[in-house]
Amino acid sequence: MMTETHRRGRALAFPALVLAFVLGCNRVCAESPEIARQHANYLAAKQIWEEKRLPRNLANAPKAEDATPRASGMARTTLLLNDVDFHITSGIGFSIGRLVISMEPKSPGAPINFDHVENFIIRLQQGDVTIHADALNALFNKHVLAYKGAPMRKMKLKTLESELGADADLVLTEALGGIAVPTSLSGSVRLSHENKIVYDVKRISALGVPVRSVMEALGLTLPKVANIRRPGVTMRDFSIEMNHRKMFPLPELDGNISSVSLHADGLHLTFGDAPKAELDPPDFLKGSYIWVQAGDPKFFGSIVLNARIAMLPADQKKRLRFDLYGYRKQLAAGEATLSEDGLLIVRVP
Amino acid sequence: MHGAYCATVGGLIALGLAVTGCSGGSLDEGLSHIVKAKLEETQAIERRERARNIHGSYTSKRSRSESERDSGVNETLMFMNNAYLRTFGKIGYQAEKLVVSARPRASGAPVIIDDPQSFDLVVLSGRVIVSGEALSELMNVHVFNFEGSPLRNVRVETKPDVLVLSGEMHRRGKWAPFSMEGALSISEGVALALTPTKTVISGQAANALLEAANVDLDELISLRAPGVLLTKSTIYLRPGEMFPPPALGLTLKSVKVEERGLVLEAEGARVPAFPELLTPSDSFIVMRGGDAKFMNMMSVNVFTQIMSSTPGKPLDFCLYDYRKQIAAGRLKFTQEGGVLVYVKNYNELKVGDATR
Repeated sequence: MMTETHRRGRALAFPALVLAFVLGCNRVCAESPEIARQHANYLAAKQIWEEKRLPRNLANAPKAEDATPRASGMARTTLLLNDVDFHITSGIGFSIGRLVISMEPKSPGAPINFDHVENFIIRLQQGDVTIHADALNALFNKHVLAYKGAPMRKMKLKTLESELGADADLVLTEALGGIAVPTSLSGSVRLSHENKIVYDVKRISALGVPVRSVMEALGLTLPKVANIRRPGVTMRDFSIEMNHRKMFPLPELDGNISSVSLHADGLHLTFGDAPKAELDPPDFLKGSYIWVQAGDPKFFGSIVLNARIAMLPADQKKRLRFDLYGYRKQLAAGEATLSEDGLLIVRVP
Repeated sequence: MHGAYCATVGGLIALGLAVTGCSGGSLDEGLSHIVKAKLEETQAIERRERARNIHGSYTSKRSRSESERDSGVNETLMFMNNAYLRTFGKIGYQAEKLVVSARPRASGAPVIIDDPQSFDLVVLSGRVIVSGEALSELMNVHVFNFEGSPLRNVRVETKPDVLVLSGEMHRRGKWAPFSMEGALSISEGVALALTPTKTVISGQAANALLEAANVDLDELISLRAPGVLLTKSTIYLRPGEMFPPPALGLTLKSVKVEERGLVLEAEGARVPAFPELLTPSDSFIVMRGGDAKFMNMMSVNVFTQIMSSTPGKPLDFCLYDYRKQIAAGRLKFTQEGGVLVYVKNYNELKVGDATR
């Protein structure tokens, strides 16, 4: 039978046990060499992961802040795209020679979430891109003219040296049977003072019959005939003004075009009024690649803090094609490696 | 004549086109169908990601508001099966149907895998098997590895229903070999109690003498170390504190000593259901829900499945040196947002398997 002393002793035994364990633990935890080794290695690695590697000469670069476990402290992510096809969606995209862009969140402090194309801006810094005719067609047919009541459909653009041709069906009103009138435009392209791409239409024909002079005689202009109601595209008398900042599917673009020209392979745009940004891609990156430096890009729900990401084609003889809206499917078909210094290398088909 | 004809036709067409111009058309808010479809797809993805905090009847609570960088959930569940989990070196255990909650100590922080002192592990259910070799290593490299330790060269052997503890004990300036063996029982749900039925010191059987003289073991030796305490003649082993960080909390349901090792079973009040795997595997560590950070990659509403990169081999994962394993392995992403991490098994690592 248990005495009162025994009962009191037992009641105290467990707390005493806990206290004894804790005291013992405190003494040893400070001495265990493996714990100290692991912690020292971690702190050294952390220093490398958090080292600020901001691209140099980046226009309007915000100041870097201290890193936290959830943020690198760097607002922008900068990309160097070299010999890449950058595809937004549905055939709309750019063939890139060499281009530096920065990606900025619209909400301060947010990462660049590749899934939330409405939440970040792509700022075009320097480089050159070509928009091939089929990409222009996709842009107009799948995006610009993709709304109920659009005045034109089945747009087909042709790029020639110094000339842009456009065939489309002009849709007559319901009162006129809603029939489509095959129409052709041709003209030249220039850059306006407001940094917009202007298509000056020199010739218009409908059903194969030239109508421009008749239109002028009747006081008819393009806005009266086919007013496209899509942000970024404005019809003016006999020109079509295209604002690259607004006319593409999200994400928003920004950055000044420094020159525009037409060639047989497409519409060439150069960007370069910002100082030349310098990034630090690893030496092994050659040929076709995308290099992502600094900031916190988020994809697949994972944030790569203070990013150092190299994206390469799985077949290095091929040109890298990056699909923004479809990146999940694309990256899921590829593979990645992550080295101890935080460099992520992604190879995609 | 021809010119007049063209002019007439042209004029009629132009008038027709003018009428077209009046048709207007509805102004889309600037979002075409392809953009809207993308935004809807993203919303669906995020709904699926939030659901990662539900594990059958167990739901990880959201304790703060969520954002792009924060799920708002203060735990990540780890589901392990047929995997060997080491802290470092030979210290580790075999996990079978084990569910553990990883909980950051700092408020609002993710689980930082690289900093084992920054989070705690709470075993929610499952079984671990700790071999005699692992226990011996644990005792020598961690538990009794301090200035003034009363024991050295500890060896733990597991035999059916019997745990044997041997080594050298420090007494009156000298090291004396000892051996103790007995059955294990659970004490207070968190500790294992070993009251030796057989004690040999310096080659001499000591049980009978100690009993006859009414001397408890703790009068011969002061045995106190992290997770190990001798009180009277019972050695209490507290598994949750014996292991190096992260701190391990577990409520023991059963203990069995077998040839293969110490078999510990735990079960909490609420048992999360194992998730559907990202890819079929019988040996894995899955991390699901909450936010976990590996190196400089932080997953929000994480869903990561870690497996051996050697086909057919069970996973051997070392927490303190996992970066070497990842660097020698590869990652694959799934369209649903999960990450498959194929690591080189720790027991297959060679010198030079490190940073690329």
